[in-house]
Amino acid sequence: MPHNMVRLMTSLETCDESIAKQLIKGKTNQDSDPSVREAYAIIEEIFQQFGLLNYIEHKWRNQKTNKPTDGPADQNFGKEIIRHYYNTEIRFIVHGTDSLKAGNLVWIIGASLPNGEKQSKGGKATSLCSNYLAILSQQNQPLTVLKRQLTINSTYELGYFNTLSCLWKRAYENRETSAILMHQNDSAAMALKNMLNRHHYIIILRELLVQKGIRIHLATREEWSNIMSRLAPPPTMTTTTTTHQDGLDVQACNRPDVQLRHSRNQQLRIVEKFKAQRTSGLVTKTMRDICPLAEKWTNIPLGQISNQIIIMMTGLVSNGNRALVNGEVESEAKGYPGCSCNRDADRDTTSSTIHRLIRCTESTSTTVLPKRDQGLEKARAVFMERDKSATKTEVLKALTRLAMSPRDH
Amino acid sequence: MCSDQDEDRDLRVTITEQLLLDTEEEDMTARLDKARKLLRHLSINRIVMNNLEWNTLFEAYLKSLLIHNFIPLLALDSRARGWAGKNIIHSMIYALGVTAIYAP
Repeated sequence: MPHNMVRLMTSLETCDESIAKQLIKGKTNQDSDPSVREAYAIIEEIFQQFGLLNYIEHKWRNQKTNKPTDGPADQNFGKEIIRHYYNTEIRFIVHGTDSLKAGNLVWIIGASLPNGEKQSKGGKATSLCSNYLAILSQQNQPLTVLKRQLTINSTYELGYFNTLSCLWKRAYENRETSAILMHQNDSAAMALKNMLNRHHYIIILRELLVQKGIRIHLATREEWSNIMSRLAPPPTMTTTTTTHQDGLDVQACNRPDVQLRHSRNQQLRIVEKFKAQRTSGLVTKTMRDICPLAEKWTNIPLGQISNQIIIMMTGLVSNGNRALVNGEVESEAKGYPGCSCNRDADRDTTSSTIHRLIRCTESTSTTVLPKRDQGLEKARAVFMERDKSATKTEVLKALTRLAMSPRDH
Repeated sequence: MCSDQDEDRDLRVTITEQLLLDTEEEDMTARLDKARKLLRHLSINRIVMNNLEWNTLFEAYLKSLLIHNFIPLLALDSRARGWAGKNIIHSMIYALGVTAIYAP
């Protein structure tokens, strides 16, 4: 039992989970050599005998088959060879907003949508990348918006990849302008700026933008908020297709190719879900009466956990002979462990520790928990982090005192 | 750990005992004992109180020693996986000073 308690409170992975995660990471690591990935795949084949990996594989295949079909794949894009080092002959320079003048045509990428909320697609929250084609104006004058689009990465619907897909589309399609304006803190802009970034799709995108003669202009926070306040789409604007709830055209793009990364993150998420299910099974009946959520038990400071608290959490209580007995009520016929008082009004409680807190005839007054029902309510409130008047450790110590004090009646 | 290289040792040929983890190797036992003692001292002297720090220490001293160093071998050897998992949890219990008490 202490093993399970320590495992729960430290949220320790099992050996199998750690290995499964490492194998998934090794197999799908874009930065490693293909031969290394192949070696991991061979080891994984042997490891297939193990149940968890079969479970992941099964889940992953199901997810892939159940996945709705995305937008049409862009046939123009070929498969590039994965490179981890950029071409030193190509210089990628980012510009400020100084070089942008009134009357210039610019794509504004990553602007917040008119309602200012994250958009949802298929019931799943995903931040679509909105991009505006606008004519810059004099200061304090509203910008003239010519076109407004939403872009989504058909492989991996994350804000970061949606923005990368949008940049990719801008590089290939509709050359209305060669200027792109982004916020300087945009994650995609920061990735493009970071020359140490070795992700192949960033390297390729950076070189693509240079080859196509597209300039990236980065705006500071003040400049960006100023532009956003002036960005008002004209009421007469028309869109080609209406696939979005706002009537905007959502363009799906399958580039950059992030299939490997998507596969890796999805598989790791399955392992995490498996771990969460296993961890919730470690919560004992006594703990479940206070708080059934396993994650609330994992952030208790380990340095303040004593042996007695562990004993209490496992459900043991002290009886009249000062011996430790299992305090969980299995059936009424077997009697109630720990004490012999009437529990008719307390049939829902399966733990003797909780019974001592709320119904036991002896005093339940402790330094932290009040008497009777209020005590349980307070313990629950503290663990659900609604009540800050006591810490979780103090509540556990109070419960331990109740569980360890012998009952003689 | 495995003994010296052998020309038959190849994943495509066969998995021999040489690809199994030697759980009784003196060097590894000594390193594990050292790590356990260090963690126990940190616990007794109440130097580490934060859970995040504890998890980092467990990761650095126990999991890296017993799991991350031997991923391919552990993937092949179920007995070694059980051994590594048991050793980690025992080491954590020892470090935190929790006595192994079993329910009656």
